[in-house]
Amino acid sequence: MPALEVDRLKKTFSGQNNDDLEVLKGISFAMEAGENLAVVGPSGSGKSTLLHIIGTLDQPTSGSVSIDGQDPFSLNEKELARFRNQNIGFVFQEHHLLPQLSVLENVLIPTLAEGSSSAQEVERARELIEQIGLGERIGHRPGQLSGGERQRVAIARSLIFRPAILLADEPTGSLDQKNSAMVGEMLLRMQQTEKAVLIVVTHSGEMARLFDRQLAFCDGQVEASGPVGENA
Amino acid sequence: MNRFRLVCRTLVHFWRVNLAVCLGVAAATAVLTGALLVGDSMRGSLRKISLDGLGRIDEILIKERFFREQLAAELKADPRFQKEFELAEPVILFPNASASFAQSDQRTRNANQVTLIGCRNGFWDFADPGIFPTGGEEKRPDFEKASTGLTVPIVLNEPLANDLGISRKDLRTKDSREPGPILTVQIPKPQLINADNPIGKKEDLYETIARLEVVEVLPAESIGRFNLHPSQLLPRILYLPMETVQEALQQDELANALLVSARSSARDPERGTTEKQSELLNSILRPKTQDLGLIFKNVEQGWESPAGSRTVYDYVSLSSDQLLLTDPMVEIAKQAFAEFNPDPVMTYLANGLELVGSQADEIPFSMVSAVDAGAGFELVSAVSGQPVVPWQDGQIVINSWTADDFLKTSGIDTQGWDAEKRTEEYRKLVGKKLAVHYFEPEASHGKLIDRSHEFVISDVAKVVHPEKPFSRRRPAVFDQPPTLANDPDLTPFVPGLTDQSSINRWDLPFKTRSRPQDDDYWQFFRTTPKAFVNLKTGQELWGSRFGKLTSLRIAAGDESIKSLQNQFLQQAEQDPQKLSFAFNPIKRRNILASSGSTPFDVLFLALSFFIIAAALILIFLLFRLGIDQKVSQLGLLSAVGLNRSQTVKLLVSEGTLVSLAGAVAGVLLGILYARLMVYGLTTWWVGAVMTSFMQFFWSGRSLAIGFLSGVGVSVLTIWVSVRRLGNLPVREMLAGKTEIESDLSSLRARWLPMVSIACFLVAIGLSLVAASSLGGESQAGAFMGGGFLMLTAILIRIWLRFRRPSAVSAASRGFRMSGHQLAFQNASRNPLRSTLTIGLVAAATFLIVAVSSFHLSPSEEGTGGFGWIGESSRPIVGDFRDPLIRSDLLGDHAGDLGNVEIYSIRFLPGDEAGCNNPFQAQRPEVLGMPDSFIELFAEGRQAGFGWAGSTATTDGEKQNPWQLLQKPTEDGTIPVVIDKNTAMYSLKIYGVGGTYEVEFDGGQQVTFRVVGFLANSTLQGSLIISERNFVSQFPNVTGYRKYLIRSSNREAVSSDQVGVLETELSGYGFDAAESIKVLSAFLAVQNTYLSTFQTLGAFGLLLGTFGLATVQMRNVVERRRELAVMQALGFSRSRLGGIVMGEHAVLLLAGMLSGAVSAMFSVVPHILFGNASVPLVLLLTILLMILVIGLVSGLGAVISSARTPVLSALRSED
Repeated sequence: MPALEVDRLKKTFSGQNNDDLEVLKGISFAMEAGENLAVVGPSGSGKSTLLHIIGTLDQPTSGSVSIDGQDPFSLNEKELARFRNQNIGFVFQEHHLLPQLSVLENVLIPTLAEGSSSAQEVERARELIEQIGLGERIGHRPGQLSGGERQRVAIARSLIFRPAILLADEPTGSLDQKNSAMVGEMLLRMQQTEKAVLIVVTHSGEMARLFDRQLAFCDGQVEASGPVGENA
Repeated sequence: MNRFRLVCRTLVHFWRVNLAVCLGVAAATAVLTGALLVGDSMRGSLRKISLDGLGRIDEILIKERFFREQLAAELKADPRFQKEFELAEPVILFPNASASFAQSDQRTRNANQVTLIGCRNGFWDFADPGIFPTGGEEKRPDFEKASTGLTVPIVLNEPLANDLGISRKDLRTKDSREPGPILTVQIPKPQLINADNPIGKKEDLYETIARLEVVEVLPAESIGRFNLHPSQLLPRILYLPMETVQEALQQDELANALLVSARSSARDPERGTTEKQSELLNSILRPKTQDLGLIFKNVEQGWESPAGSRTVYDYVSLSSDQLLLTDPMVEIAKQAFAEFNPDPVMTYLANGLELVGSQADEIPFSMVSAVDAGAGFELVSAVSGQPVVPWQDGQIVINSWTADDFLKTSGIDTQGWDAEKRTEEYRKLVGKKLAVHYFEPEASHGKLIDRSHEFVISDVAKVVHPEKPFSRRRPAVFDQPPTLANDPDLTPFVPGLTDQSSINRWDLPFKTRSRPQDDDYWQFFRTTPKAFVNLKTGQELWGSRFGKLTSLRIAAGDESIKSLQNQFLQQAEQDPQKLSFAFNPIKRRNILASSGSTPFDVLFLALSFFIIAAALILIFLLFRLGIDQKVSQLGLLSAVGLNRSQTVKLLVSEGTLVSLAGAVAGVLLGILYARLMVYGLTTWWVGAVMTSFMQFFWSGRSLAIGFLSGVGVSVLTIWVSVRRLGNLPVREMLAGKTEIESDLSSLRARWLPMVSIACFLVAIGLSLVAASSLGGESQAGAFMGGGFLMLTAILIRIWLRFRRPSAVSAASRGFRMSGHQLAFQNASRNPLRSTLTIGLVAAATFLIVAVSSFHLSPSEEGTGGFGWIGESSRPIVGDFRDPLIRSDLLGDHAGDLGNVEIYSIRFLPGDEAGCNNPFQAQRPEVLGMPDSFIELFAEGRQAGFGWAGSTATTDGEKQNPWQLLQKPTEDGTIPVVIDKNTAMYSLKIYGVGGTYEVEFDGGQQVTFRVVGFLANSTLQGSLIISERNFVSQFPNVTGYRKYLIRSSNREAVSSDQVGVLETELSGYGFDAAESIKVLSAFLAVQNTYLSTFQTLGAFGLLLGTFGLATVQMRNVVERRRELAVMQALGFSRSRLGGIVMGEHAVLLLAGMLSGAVSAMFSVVPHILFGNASVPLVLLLTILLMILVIGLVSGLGAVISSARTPVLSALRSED
């Protein structure tokens, strides 16, 4: 059973004058645990929408998404939030760190869904912070970190519950080349360590080449898919 | 890591916006708490005054007539009294004395309406500690100490001393021989017989006591501000030794008031007696019949002869020292003595008995008794020698002396007649007509009215001429057996009349005449009636509001007088109300009255409503601004698995903590605000409460309610502001959006126009209802509610307009881009924020504009066309419109008045229920309007008073609603007209047609039916009834004490003419004031309240401008990049500043316009109904002021926009 299975996924947005805009036009693919995938394509091609639907932040118009054999959209709002909390990790283009919290606290944010962090969770957060190379800056606030460091904290935050699916929406979009490479490599390293499915939406061909598979999007459809090199 | 930590960290991180929200909550809480504390302060101050003025007096028994002061000792001797009560002290109390002080410079200073308290040293025990001067030990005035011989020591309270120009330093020092200030006082003489009774005294009603030396001045607190009717005005009090007053009034060992203090009062002076204690006290109180003015007299006439002795008559006469027995007394007596079947008697003084069609002299001033013939009263006929046949209606029996006098004076020589001849002549008189001339039993406006009634002589009753006349020591002596008709005791005791030795010494208020034989009759027969009619006829002719019987003849056999008195009192105990001899729980009543006529807290809360609303809008706005800053964080929390309710809870928790902090600050600010208001009410707005009596009081309850309400409404507002976030997609939140774009076509957008229309329609309804039929607090509530709904309707329309696509795409459709268009488009960028900002300014504008419109100016309709209003501290008996009476009262100066017309009004003192008295009126004062006043307004003879409503149905009544006072009601209630403000705010009567029940002194219950409301008149504060109803309800109230003065030829009455009245009537304590000034003073109260509320408007304006400025600053911060781009495109800094100011002005003007339109909408019905007028100049000035303040508040945003650094803003990531 694939860890992630996307089947004929469609998404349509209603416009202001009832003119519908079909963003995804029947996307299908599947991924096994430990696999990684780079989604590339021009702006407005539906890449981020796909990521939001897989991440359960948005609902498909039709089609289905199955994560470890479960349809998340059959869950109610609370169950879905809990499902997302336990199974999906997000890394956004903007790091979305809370400026009022320290690095450690930011990594622990997902634990707040249960009320408070347990000692194991705090230990896990410390390990992750060590792994991203910020062990020395565990008590720093986001304002005291560089852009690349912030994004690394965001990666650690996404992995706190060892999610089955790790989603990254242009995680290097705001970073320079050096930091981009570092973040890309870190994502892949962490994904390998955690045996998670990793999907990254990126404009960067360089980064896409780091991934096992690529999905090229154009106008809401998969233009091409395949292992690295075939679609670059 | 836990959620609370996150909340705390977030609170600190976003401290600026949280502080702003906190201030908003503090403002709302402060207004709420402040309003409640102002109410506490008003109630507390009134309560303090009520209690202050009583000292330890808990119960008071006060009567118009004097009773034995021994009653106090009898009370104190009762063990039940000793257990519950401590003090009982008799005093003599007169509320209408006057005092004059001849100063060293020969000028005399007078003070009227002085309360005189004749007391002994025991009275000072009722004082609270600390009011007497101390010099090591408390120095109480000593009235027991013998006077210097030349002067009598008296004490004044400070207000009276001030009025007379006396201070403590003027008093005699310990070693000085020089006396202190010497005063003369005038006190009303006790009148047993009402001045409206023909034989009641109309003049010489006052006694003067001279050589009174002021030995102490008490501060105006505790018994130093003693007042029977609670009022914030300081009374003028003069304390005088009781014996001095008793001596002056010849009322030895008598008092007219009894004061009692409960033991519980010593422990807690602010408690008053319980109802149970009052009941106990009244059950212990045992008045004797003499305390009630009842006279039980053994009347016995026997005849001793050699053959033996026999009784001619032997009965007990029950009469009253007030001439007539009151109906309740008769009722008690009839029940008490039912077994003796007493004969009711009504004896009246006829002015003349005229034998119609005869030459005989009219016999002047004779007693005629109305008594039914029967087993107990059988006269012997001088015609038949048999018992006189019972006399019927229209018949009269004359006595044989009268018959003889008619015969003699008709020229017949009766000398030498034998009995047969005499009998023959008597028989000729039978069947002849006899006219009885008399005065009407009640004087009309002080004028005696002659009346006559013709009877047919049915018989001649035999009276025996005594051998020896009456002397001081014994009655007349008979040498022949007297008859039942020889009974002078059929006439009650009348001082100055029945106690005189000669008819020529009668002391009556009208001229009398007599012939020698009349004085002879007086010497031998005294008050023996000369004629008898039946009771029914007598009562019809001579019965009055004072009573219908002069005595009861009780043939009680061997029963002693004491036994009969006990029987009477025992019967009276069955129905104590009839006796009207009971204590008044004055402290308890005053505490009740101190709840206040105007619930200040409700009034302040109603008028603070818009300010609270403004504060809540501000909280909403500021919290939303905070959310705008944090929305992406919230999106993240959702993205990592916190569900929506958890996210909303986090925000609400944050808001709650902010609200708690804000509410704590708000409570403290509320205390400051209330203190400021109280300060204002005692200084700047002293007109609203007339004197600076208000003090700051607080209660834990108000603070708790203020705190909890502040937190409650703020948290609710915050919850409303975050609630919608639950529907926002996470990706939108992550992108920093707080509104759902697709809402444009949502259900909410569809039903909002309908809500707007519904609000508009309900607002119209509420406004009309408020203006036409509601009153008091409900009117204020409906007025505010109507205005709020109207504003809501307008704001919804504005919000919808901002959200319309055309609003943002106007430029793309080819319109030329203009500054104001750009400003409007920018304002519509964030519709909710802009609408709320407009609402914030509108709320303040509404309050200021609406309140300004209710300022009132005095009008002729308020004065009824009467230029002056007069009042006398003592009643004047007589109608000024009668030239004779005017001449009597004003002497040679009567002519100086010219066309001045004075309408005399009867007056029952009571609680002033007008705007000037913040106490809850328990027993309002009553005015009795004469028929001449009511008729004045018929057929438009006088412009008349403005009416705010009446029960008039006919055209005549509608034209002159005063007529309704004369119209009997079906249920026997008394028709009453009341000023609308008095009715609504003081008496809590909200519509015409309703009833109002009052328990007057002595337990008399009167139910009034409201037949009309006057609009803003000089007659506010009183219950206005017809004179006819007045005299029937309050028969013992003498004469007139209020006067409406006008000129019959519509010219103004000059102050010189009024001066004549004041001078000539100074003995009555007459004082007149210009009606327009009186009315202005009344209206000043309302206007001052309005000024108070305008300050609330100013506070709202402060909130509005703060909100507007904050929102604009936030707008500028959010648009920094946009502004930088515009700079990069070539916009100058001043141009950018202009654009930002334009947006600011759009919001400000829209707010002002919305507020002003809503206010005018609410006010229009009130203008139409005459309760409001719009002072246009004042309003425009206020609006201009709001505009200027508002624009100035936008300068911060303008400067900020102009200073936007281009490059850093363009590079900015936020």
